[in-house]
Amino acid sequence: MWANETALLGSSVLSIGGIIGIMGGLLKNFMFWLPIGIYGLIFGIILVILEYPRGRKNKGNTAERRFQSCTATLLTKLPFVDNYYFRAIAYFIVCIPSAIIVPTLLGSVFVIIGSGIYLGAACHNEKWAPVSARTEVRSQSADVTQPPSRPPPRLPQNVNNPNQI
Amino acid sequence: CCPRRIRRILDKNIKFHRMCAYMIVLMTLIHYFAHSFNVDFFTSAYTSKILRKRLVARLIQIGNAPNETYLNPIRSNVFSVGAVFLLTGGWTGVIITLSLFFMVTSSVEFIRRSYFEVFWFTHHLFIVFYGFLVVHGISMQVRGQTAASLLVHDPKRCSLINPALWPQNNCPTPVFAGSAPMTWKWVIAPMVLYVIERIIRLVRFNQQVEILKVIKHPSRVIEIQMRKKGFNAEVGQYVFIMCPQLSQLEWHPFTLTSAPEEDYCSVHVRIVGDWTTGLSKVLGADESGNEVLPSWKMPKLAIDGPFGTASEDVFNYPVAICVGSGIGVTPFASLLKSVWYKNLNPEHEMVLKKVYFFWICPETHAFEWFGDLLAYLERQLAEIGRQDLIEYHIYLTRGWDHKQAKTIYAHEEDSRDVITGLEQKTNYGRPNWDEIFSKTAQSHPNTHVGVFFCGVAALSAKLHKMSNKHSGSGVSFHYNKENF
Repeated sequence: MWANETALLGSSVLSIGGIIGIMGGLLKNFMFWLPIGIYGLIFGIILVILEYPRGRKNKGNTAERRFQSCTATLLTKLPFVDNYYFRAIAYFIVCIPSAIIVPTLLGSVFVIIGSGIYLGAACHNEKWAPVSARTEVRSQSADVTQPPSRPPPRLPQNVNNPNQI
Repeated sequence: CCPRRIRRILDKNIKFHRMCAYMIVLMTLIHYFAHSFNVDFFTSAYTSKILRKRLVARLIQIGNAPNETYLNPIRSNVFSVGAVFLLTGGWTGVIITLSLFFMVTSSVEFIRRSYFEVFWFTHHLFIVFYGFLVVHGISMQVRGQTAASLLVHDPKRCSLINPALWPQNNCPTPVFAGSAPMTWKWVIAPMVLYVIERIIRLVRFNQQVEILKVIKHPSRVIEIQMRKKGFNAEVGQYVFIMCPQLSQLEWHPFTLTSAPEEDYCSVHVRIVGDWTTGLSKVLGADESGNEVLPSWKMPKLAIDGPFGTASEDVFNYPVAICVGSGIGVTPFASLLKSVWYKNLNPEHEMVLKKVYFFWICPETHAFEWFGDLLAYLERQLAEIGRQDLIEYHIYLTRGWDHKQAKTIYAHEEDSRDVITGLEQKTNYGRPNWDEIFSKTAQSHPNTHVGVFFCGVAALSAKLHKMSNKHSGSGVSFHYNKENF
């Protein structure tokens, strides 16, 4: 869960870094930034889309992010993303090229940290599962249409006294 | 000491904390991206394309000879990302930004609600943050020409001249210096205040807390009555409680449910998580132990506090509307008890003349102790003939099934309410705030009415709107919210 938060923030910073890289890359002095900036922006956006839906918590209700259901359906269709080992390794590999220029370095480091936390979560056998609809509050009323099947509990003295009804 | 309007602003301290955090994050991003250009300027000055510019080549050389001060903090050709770690500002900045990153990602509401320890322990990284923030600029790597050097070496004129010909053209070697770190001047006062507060907490940790009574209430609530020397609390304040036997690092906040006039202080603790379960076990209040623990077997507790919230101001208003929803009703236990105690004292004339108390909960399950308190107060007030001092309304919002509806209907004509046992009948559903506020406005013209709320945020927004809407000619509703 926390890995999701770190990776989401990291990928947002990576996207912003990509934008800065592109802007700087258009200047003469920093032309080297341009390809990496574009790479950072594209992968930053992809990672934001992948990380945005919050997975289901193991117990209790999970608070969804706003509009998460749009991307959550996409995630259920993709093959490997619910496996956290895959996420850990894939994010690590994706971020290495973007770590070579300074603007996208920040976002890459954040996503790599997120991938490290995902690795820890994967070792604890956690997976991404889509959030199901909120479970209904169980009604506590007894069904009063059937007659009771068992007699009500009686105190010991009532059981022993045969004259009581 | 301070007028009420200023004190009310202090109630929004957590909101202010968050605003500062957002600003820090925004400024960190801007600062980082601006300096990424800077770092690349420093390192690319050594690449062959730029070296052809004679001025740049000369400038980066200044500082290599003895008695010269440098302009470029990067002294040799390194890769730009590596330069980030070579610069003192760079690697301290990395540490600072990483701590900020951990703090921000674990402070989102989802993590706070579901994984509180992650939030609590990562938030203590602020110590790392502030420590390295203060030394971030210590190498003075943002450099420029000194004022003295500017007098003798005019950069506008000399930059146009071939640097090899500077000595002939009245351009002596420029002298550079960096600007001293300034951040410590801004943060030193809050840091000192924080350290003082932690020292006070340490002192309080060593003060002895005597546990007088532990009472088991229904629905897994225990009441702990304690006594500590020199402990004085106002109404509705809260304390932090720590039990070294359970955890040395966890201080949990609890609202005081005792009135200041009582000679003990009490908290009602609901057994929900692992710390509270452990607490009930060491206090002997769990299911296994039914024997009474002698006082020397009681665990050591430490109390830090009391800390104040909005409810303290209630006695400054002539009329108060207090609304508690769910667990937010706990500060009002202390308030109502104190109102009654103050009323017993006839010579001290209270400003507060009337309290309207609204208790809104999905069900009274887990708050039976509060219902008992209300029943007790009701009896006591009737005895001294002041039933009109506190007018309370209870709203059960979860709804009812048809079995309950039948019971309620059957007991409709009883003098006491069937669910709570109070004289005031329980209402079902949500209150009609418009009607309540306008009725209050009509019965108390030309008064300042304090509205005090503790509970869910949605209701808080609604009450705030109602307070503003019904404040008009003469009557004004002042809204105060307590944070949990």
